[in-house]
Amino acid sequence: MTPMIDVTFQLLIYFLLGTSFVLGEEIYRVDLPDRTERRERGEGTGEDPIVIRIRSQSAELNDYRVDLEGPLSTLPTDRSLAEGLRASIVSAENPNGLVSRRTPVVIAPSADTRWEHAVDVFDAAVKAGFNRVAFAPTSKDAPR
Amino acid sequence: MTRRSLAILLLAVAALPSPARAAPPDLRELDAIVLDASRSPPERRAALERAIAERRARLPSAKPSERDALALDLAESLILVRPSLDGTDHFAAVGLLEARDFARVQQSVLEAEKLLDGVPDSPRMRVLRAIAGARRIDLALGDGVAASPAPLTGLSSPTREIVMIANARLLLASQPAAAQATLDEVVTTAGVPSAVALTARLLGPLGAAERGDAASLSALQAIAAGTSRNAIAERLLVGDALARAARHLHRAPDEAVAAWSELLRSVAREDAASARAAVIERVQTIVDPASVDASTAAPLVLAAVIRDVAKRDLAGVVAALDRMLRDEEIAGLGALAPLLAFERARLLALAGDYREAAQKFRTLAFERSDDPVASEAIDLAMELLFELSLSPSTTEAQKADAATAMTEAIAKFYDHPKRDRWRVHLGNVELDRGRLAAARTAFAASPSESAREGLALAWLLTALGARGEAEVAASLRESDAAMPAPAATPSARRLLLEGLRARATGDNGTAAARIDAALADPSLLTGDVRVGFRELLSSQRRASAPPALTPGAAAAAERMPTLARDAIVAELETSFARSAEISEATAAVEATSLRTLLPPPPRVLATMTPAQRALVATALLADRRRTEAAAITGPLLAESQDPATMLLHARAVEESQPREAFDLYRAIVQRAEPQSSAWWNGQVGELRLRFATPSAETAELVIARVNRLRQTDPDLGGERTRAALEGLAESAHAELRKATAR
Repeated sequence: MTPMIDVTFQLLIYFLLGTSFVLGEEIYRVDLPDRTERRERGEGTGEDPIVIRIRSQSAELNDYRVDLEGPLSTLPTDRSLAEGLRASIVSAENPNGLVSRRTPVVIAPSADTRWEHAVDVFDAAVKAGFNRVAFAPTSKDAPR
Repeated sequence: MTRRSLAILLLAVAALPSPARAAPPDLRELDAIVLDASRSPPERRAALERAIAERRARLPSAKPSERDALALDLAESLILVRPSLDGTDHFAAVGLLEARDFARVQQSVLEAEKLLDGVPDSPRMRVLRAIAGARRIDLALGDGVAASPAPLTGLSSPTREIVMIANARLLLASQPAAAQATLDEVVTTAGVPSAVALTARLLGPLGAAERGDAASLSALQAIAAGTSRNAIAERLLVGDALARAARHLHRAPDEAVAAWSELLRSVAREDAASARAAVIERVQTIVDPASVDASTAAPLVLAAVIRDVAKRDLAGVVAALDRMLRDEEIAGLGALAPLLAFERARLLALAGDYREAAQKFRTLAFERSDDPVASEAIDLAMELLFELSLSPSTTEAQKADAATAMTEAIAKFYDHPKRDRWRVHLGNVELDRGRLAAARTAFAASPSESAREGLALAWLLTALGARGEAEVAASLRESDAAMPAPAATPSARRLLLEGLRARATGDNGTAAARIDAALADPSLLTGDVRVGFRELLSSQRRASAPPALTPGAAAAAERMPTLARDAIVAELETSFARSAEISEATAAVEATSLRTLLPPPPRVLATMTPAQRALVATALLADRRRTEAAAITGPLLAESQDPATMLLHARAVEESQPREAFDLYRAIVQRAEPQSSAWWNGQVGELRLRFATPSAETAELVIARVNRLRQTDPDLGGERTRAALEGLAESAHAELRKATAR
């Protein structure tokens, strides 16, 4: 009898120590600043963004087409996307640049663009030196 | 000439033997004029009055042999000729004398009786005494006192009939049958003058009316219908009788009005004015203006009391006049038409419709130039045309029409007493139109002092507009020759003339002071104010511009804000209308020289169009007076959100409210047509404000933007924007280099 009582107490102690009291899963409302509000408050550069539109040509890694809109509409064709973008940024070494590092870059993939192509363009923009790179809001994200 | 010398000259002239005083008027000549029926009644009456005065003057010193004849002539003039000439005899006979005529007749009878008392008995004396007796009966009945019949013995026609009528009047109330018999005898007497017969015919019905017999009115109407159309005095008399009968019968004087209206309808054109005046005077005595309804009143009644009725029912009178004048034949206006047309034009002027009134007055004067109202009508037309043509709102075409109309009137009404004044008006209108040669011609034709001042002004303006020195000198000589001698207190125009003279000789300081003093005078003509403003502002720019409008100019601007506006805008336009084409430095210099005008008084600013206010704001901005500019651009922006206005306001508030200015510049860049002037200026403004706090980040942004803009247009939108953008880019490069070095 005694061993049974011991085992029972052992089990009780085990479960007491092993149990964690978690709350039930639920949604918490969080107020996050959106980009529209930010612009209305006058923050940011106020510059028109460089919009990079992407359309996948095939499933190959680098097979996609890029179109630019906004302050930068053309890039040199003999360089990679990242190098072309870097060459357009004004700096002490590059006084003839057409955009600033702080010029917003908005990546706008079409609906059928492959995810890796979009990420590739995002990486190229960040690598070029732009520090305000974002994906274009989808219609679902767009502020109402 | 001094006052003393003028007085001596006047005394000398007075001492000269005057032919008029040296030779007394010839009584025979005057009597001949009085008896000459072909002469006009006013001329005959004037001759009679002169003859009466002369006989009165001669009587005390006349020789005994001449004295009796002189006394008889004077008595005859007083009790027979004068009443006959002025038409009071018949009116007296039927008891229809006006109060003022009554007193005069009474005085004449008393004087005549006194004269006759001192004259020995003679047939002529007896006739005159009988006439005096008859007149005395008329006067006694008028005064309501007893009188005895005048004797008929020794009298012949028509004196006998006149005395018979007077005697019959005595019996009219107590023995109407006997009185009527006497009157019938007069009417049937062969050879009796028609006026005497008419008097006799009227007395019967008048007596019946006095007794309350309503049938008397129709008897009088029958007499009216049978009266000769050409006998104005007789028809007036019939009208008077009808009015008197209506009063006795306590009825409205409609029959009298109808009789007088008929007289005016059919009267000959040459007698129209005098008949109209007589009739209007009569209607005024029998009609109470308070009881007249414009919509139903007869044209004659309305014409007689129109000014009183218009005071309480202007719209009704205007409507009635329009209705009557629309078809004056149907309304049967006759001689009333010019008077009513005159009143219609007058009411238009009173209602403020000066242009239409001037047109109506002019048409009336030209179409009825023989009517007495034509003289006043054309004068009013000329005054209105003159005032209208100098109004700031009058167009050049309207001024040209006015000048043409004035020229025509001066030619047509060649004997009008106001013709010289019209010429000066015309000269002033031509001056205002800038037609200096025409103005000089008009002024030169008039000898008045104001015309000479006008001529001097025209020559001065010619000198100011002249190019060659010789032409300037010649014009100044002409101006000096025309300039009248200075008065003790110079007129406003005189001050203006002196100012312009100084201006023409380059003495801008004196010019500004004199012209400003002239502008302070409210009597200065509108055209002169226009010239004064222009030349004052111009001379002040050339001298040293005061910081605000000088007192005279400010007072004139308060009085005539639109004129001041035009002058100020004209000055600003010469410098700033194409502000994009001048450098900022040049604009600043121009703005400094225009400080007198900036900002214009509120009353002047209120009359400006948005474009004109924008021009003022531009000039203020060029003078770096941003706060005053913002006070103008703020309301402008509230009215219109166009890029040019946004740009102006952004520049005005750039220092005080940079955030608002930045947003405006951004909005201009986004909304304005790319590469337009506003767009380029928006780019400059935006970058300038971005770089207001220099940093590496803003420097990069500015350089990048300028590089992009250069790709769009290598010239960067023109000289001014290129200089601004390149300056900004250079500063940004320096800032970037500095940041990199750190």
